[in-house]
Parts: sequence; C-alpha cells; structure tokens
Amino acid sequence: MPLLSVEHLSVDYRHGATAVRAVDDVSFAIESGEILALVGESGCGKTSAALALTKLLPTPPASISGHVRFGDLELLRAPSEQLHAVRGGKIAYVFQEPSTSLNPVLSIGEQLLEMVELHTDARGAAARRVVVEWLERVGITSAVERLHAYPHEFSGGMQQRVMLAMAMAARPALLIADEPTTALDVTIQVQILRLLRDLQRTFRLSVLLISHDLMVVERIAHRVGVMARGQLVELGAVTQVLRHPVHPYTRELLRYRSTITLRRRGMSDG
Amino acid sequence: MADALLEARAVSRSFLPRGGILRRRTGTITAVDHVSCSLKPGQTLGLVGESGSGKTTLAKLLIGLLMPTSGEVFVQGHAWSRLRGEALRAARRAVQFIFQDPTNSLNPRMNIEEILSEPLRIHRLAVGAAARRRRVDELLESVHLPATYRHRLPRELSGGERQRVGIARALATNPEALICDEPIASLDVSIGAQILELLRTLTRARRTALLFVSHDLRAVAALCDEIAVMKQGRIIETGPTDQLLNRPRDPYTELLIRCAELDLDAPTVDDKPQTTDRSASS
Amino acid sequence: MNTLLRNKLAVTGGAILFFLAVVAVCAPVLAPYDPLRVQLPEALLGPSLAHLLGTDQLGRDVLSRLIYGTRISLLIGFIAVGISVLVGSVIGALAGFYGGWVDAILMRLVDTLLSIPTIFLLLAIIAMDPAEQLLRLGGLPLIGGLIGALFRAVDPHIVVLMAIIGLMSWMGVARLVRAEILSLKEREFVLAARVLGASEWRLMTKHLLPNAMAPVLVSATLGVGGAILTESVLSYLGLGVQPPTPSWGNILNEGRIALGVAWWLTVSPGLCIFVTVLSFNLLGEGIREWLGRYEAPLRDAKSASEEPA
Repeated sequence: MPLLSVEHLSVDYRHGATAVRAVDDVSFAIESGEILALVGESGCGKTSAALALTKLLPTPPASISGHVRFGDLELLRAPSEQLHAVRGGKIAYVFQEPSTSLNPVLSIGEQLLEMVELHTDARGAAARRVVVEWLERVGITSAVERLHAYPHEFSGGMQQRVMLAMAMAARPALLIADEPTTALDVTIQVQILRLLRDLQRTFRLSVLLISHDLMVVERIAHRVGVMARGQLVELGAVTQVLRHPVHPYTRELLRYRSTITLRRRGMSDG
Repeated sequence: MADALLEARAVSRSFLPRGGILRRRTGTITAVDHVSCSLKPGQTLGLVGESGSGKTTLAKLLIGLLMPTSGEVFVQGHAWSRLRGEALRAARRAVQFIFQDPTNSLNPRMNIEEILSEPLRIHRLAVGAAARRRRVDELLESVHLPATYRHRLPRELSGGERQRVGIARALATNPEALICDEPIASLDVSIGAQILELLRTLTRARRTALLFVSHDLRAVAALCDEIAVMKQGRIIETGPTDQLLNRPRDPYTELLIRCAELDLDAPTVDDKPQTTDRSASS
Repeated sequence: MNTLLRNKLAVTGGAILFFLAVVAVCAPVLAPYDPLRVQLPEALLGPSLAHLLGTDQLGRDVLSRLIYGTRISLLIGFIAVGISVLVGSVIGALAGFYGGWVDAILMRLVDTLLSIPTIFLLLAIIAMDPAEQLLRLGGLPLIGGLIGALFRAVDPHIVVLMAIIGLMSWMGVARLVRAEILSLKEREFVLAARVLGASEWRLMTKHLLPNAMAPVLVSATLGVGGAILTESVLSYLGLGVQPPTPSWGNILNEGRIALGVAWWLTVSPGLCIFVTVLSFNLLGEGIREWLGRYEAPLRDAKSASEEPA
C-alpha cells in the first residue's frame, strides 16, 4: 500500500468570472521510503499540487477536487482536527525561501520547541533535548548556544537546515520539499541535498521533491513525474524517464538540459 | 596594458553598512579586495563565484557604476573616475551591461520602442524618427522578437522576452564589450538556454568582448573561453576554460566544479555563519 | 469584484467633480440670481421655490452664492495644489537625486517649515496684508506688469491665498518625492540608463520623475480637498476670501451667527465642501489604481507564478 495516493487531483483558481485550472487531473502515488520528484517549468502547477495535498491553499480563490489518501485518511475530506494533526506532523513541508518561512522575531529554539510540543509527546526539558538533537543532526554545531539565536543571524544554508530540523522534529512519514535548494549557493545546495539524502536513508523518509532542476532530480530522486500546464505528462523511474523520455514535452525539457551540460568540455556527464 | 578594453588595477571596494536600531556603523565589508583583471577585445571571460564573492560588485566597478575605494578601473585606457561629458559618453557607447532581473531592468512606463531608441538618442545614432524606427526594427529582429512588440510595455512581455529586449538595448550602440550579470538566473532553464545561445551568436558574430558574471559554472563554461574564480573579494584562479575545468589548481575551484556536478560527496566546508545569502547578492 | 467597485467609486468622484467644474464655468448662466444682490426684505428666508436654498441675512440667494463660490473653491484648490506640487517636486527631486549636502540643506529647510504650525503662519502672513505689499512691487518692470495683470484678473486677496496655501503644503510633497527618488535611484532600469550614458537631465525627466509621480498625484488629489478645507477654515476665521465675494467658507462663516434660525446657511455650504473633498479622495484612489497598471507584470517569471493566486 503506498504511503500517499493521489487520484484525479485538480485545482482551480477562480478570479471573478474566470477560472484557471492550475492542476488538471493529476494522479500519482508515493511509496514508503522513496523520493518522488515533480518537475516542470514555472506555472506548470507543481507547487499548487503539492500545497493542495494537505489543503494548504486558500480555498476561496482555489477549489480542490479529487482524492488524497494518506494511510486510512482521505485528506481532502478529513475533519480539520485530523488534517491539522497530519499537516506539519506526519506530512511536513520545507519551502524555497527559508528567510520567509522562519518567524524573524522568535529565536530558532522557540520555533523548534513549538514544533516539537505540537507534534510529539515531549514536553519541557525532554522537548529541549529533542530540539538540540535535531539541530545537531542537521549539522548545526554548538546547537545549545544557537538555540537563542534569531533567524537573521544564520546564513541561507543554515536557515534551510533549521527548516529541515523543524520539519523532521515531528518525525514525519512524508516530507514535501518545494525547491528547497533553488535560492542557495551551489556549494550549500550540495550540502542540503546531501543532508536530505542522509535523512531520507536514516529515517526511511518519503520525499516529494518539487524542482525545476533535472540534475537535482537525477541525483537524488527514485521516480520522477513531469508536469506541464497542470497535467502530469510522464511518470516513471528516474533512469527510465531521463534516458528514454516518451512524452514530447519531456524530450524538450531534456534537450535544453543537454545543451547546457554538453559544453562542459572535459567535465564528466551528470 | 594599452589595448585592454577594460582593466582593473588593484581595485578594492568597501561598504560601510549601518546596522542596529540606531543605525550605527557596524563595520566595513570589503566586497572587492585588491583585484586586478582585464578584458581584451574579442575575449570571452567568465567570472564565477558564490554569493558574497564580490563578482557583481566587480562587474559594477568595471562598468563604472561604482567607484573603487582604492585602485582604478580603466576603460579603453581612461580611468572612469576622470571621465566627463563627451569622453564619458564615448566610453559608455563602447561598453554595455546586461542586468540580472528582466522585470526591473526596463522602465515600466516606457514602451519597447522608447526603451530601444534611448541609446540611439543619447549617442545620436540613427538620427531622425524614420532612421530610429528602422534601427529599432533591426534590433528587435536580431533578438528574434516581432516588430509589433514596438508598442508593448514591459509588463506585457514574458521574462525571456524582456531579457531579449535588454540584450537588444545593450547591443544598440554596437559596443566593443558586454558585461552580463547573471542574465539567466531568474529565467526558466529552457528559456535561459535560449538566451545564452542568443548571446553567444550575437557576440561571436560581432566579435564583442564578453564578461559573463554568474554563480552557474555550467553557463559560464558554455559561453566563455576563459574563467576567473572569485571568492571573498579576490580572484583565486584564472585560466582557459578547458584547463580550469579539467586541471583546477585551487581546491576551491575543484570544489565548485564538483558542486556544479552535484557531487554529493564533495568536501564542502561548514556554512560560513554570517554571510549574505543569494537573495541579497554581492 | 473589489476592483470594479472601487472603480465605480472613482468614476463617481470624477463625475461629481466634472459636474462641479461645469457649474463653476457656467456660473453666470446657472445662477438664478446675482450673488451680490442685496434684498433686505427677503432676508433669512427658508428654502422655497423662489430661492431653492433660501437667503442669507442680506437677502442674497444662497444657491447663487454657492454656485459662484464653486469657482473660488475649485480655483483655490487647483492652483494651491499646483504650486505645492511644483515646488515640492523640484525640491524633493533635487534632494533625492543629489544627496549629500544638497539633500541635508533642503531637508532641514523642510523640517523647519514643517515644524511651524501652519495656521499660525498663515494668520501671521495674512495679517501683514501681502496683497498690499505686492501691489507696491508694481513699480518693478517685468514682475510689476505680471502682478498687475494677475491682480486685474483675480482678486489679489485670492491670489495671495492660493499662493500661501500652496507654499505651506509643498513640504509633504517634497518628502514624498525625495523618498520615491531615493528608492528609484537604485532600481535596475535607472542603472541601465546610467550605463547607457544618459545625462542627469534625462535620468531625472525620463526615468525618475515619471515613476515617482504616482504617489504625488494621488496626494495631490487629496491635497485639493485639503486646500479647499483650509480656505474654508480661513474664511471661518474671517481671513479667507473677503465678502461680498462668495466662497463656501465665508458663507459658512456668515451662517454661523444665524445657526439657530437658518440652518440652510451652514448646511448647504457644508455639504458642498464635504461632497467635493470626498469626490477628490475617491478620484485619488482611482488614480492610484490606474497608475498602478504599469507595475503588475504578467505572471511568468520563475517563482512568481507558482504562488497561489
């Protein structure tokens, strides 16, 4: 039984009299312990789809239809209590811009503590220990001192590590990462991806990775779904889709990727 | 050297930020630290670095948008800081710049025709409305945009199209050198690839010297015959692209290459604690 | 849905103002009576068919006086704001563009003037009877001729009033323009123009000012309302437009005494002022919307379109 099963997911945005279909009848499943990537160019609907899974879209302009099965919960129709327990708990999110995801007026310790106390049974000193453990696991040295630091005292890469710690502290089964490394320097990108890979391996985490970068996908994802104009045009194992693309759009996407990589005369491929 | 189009001699640029509630001076940031480099006619040079490396600051120093706090930048043998009036205008005609953000680099209240005519008017090229219009059409064609775009406003164009307009504007004066600061960073991969291809075609055809500033080693390698690597305000290595990529001398260069290939086992150093991240770029 | 509603309001505001402008221009045709005609036997009559808005203490038709008063109020409003926008924009632009000591000196001037309570300064200046002083300048060749012509066209007191109100409110505009210019100076399209070799004049007139004027125009429409109110206040204090020339303010003032018996003397000019100022405010909102049409890029750039609407 897959961990998450998405069937016929559609998202429409209503703006006055017009409606725009951002996600068009998308279906896929994520198994336990696998990394599924959703790729596509801007406007293809990948972020809308990811947010729709736990109804994170504001539903006056947006309207979500379809089925999202997580365990024995139908997320799109679950009572809000259960949905809120899942969101951030069993299903965690990490977004592109850590500086806007972190509350600038609270120390990172406070924010992490909030997450831990919300989604686990740990309280007080025990909760604090959990927080410190996670900060160390994501590679933040002198974690105990850093608890009192504020987000702006960290670089972008470290903020993203804090975001990962916050996401992981609740021991999620599924991590949804929306372009987690796009805003980061390439050396930091490598660090974060390595961290993601290690976390995934250690905790048998499932990851839904949203990205526009096919190289990232090739590096760490097991399966990939290609989205264009709201539709899922191709879905399959990474090696399969990237070496033998079927859909013309996928071929287009790969064509441009090759143009940039081929000219690295002497650099090893991929 | 006398025949360099652009030359920086031991150039430094510092900033004095004011932080804290009372906006006191919190110290000096040296964005560019005693850098010397040059761009010769027809040369294609890539400037690679991460955020905080000083590459954008150096680009702005080379184009004369910023003045160095020490050292001097020369354009066609003249120091930017000493140029005035007609001589300054002549220098500006010879060296042009393409900005990173296509949304912000075009005046939102000017239509495409006005944007592209501006360099023509400033430098008195193509005098007369008819001649200007012809030239604008030529420019639009050279960047593969339809002539009907003349009357459109920037907001009616896509990001890639706006960047094409930026390129057309930069090439309007037939400059001898072109500096590009992350021209494809805010564009989709496929659009970016097209823009790169366009840049390559146009600069090769006119033998324009190119200084390509980017954090993206692949894009730089695709377009440039030589690469200079910057780190914390200094140029730590330069060399022909092929040589730099295959036999890098500096371990940081090696690291950049491995990271560009997304080698997850590359020996990255721990995060530097309080640097600016890419959103507040150098 | 919201934008449509806001637009309707702006259009309403604009329509009312247009109507008022027509009234002002066609005053001689529209006014049923001569606004200066004194008919003591008909003093303090309530609204009736003969006098739609009644008469004042001197038997003058209130409606006619209001109609002619429209001229004064709109004239003062526009000219005063025109002066303040002109002076304020120039000073703010210079301060913002050049920075350094130019900025420091100009802004200290602004701060100083801002710290003086406007009303008292106005009172002080008016008390010095500037119209008289200016008339004495009539001796000077060019300026004297200009002033003379101006004073023949419009009552000197009104000219002075417009100038003073205008000169007392340019400071806010200056600050606004300076702030806009400071932030615009670093925008990439301005840097691009510098790199192209644009002269300072071109930078200022083609790039900086056009993009800086949006908030100024909005503030100007609000300012017209404010100028009209200021004139009303001055008239209320007896220092505005001098009777018998009617202005909404002095009609209000004259009506003050008879408030108990003749409500129409205060309510009508009050309503006029209220409606006019409100219309200007609505129009200002509409202008702000309309000017903002340049700013919204059609969604396509990498991160922009991924955001839920």
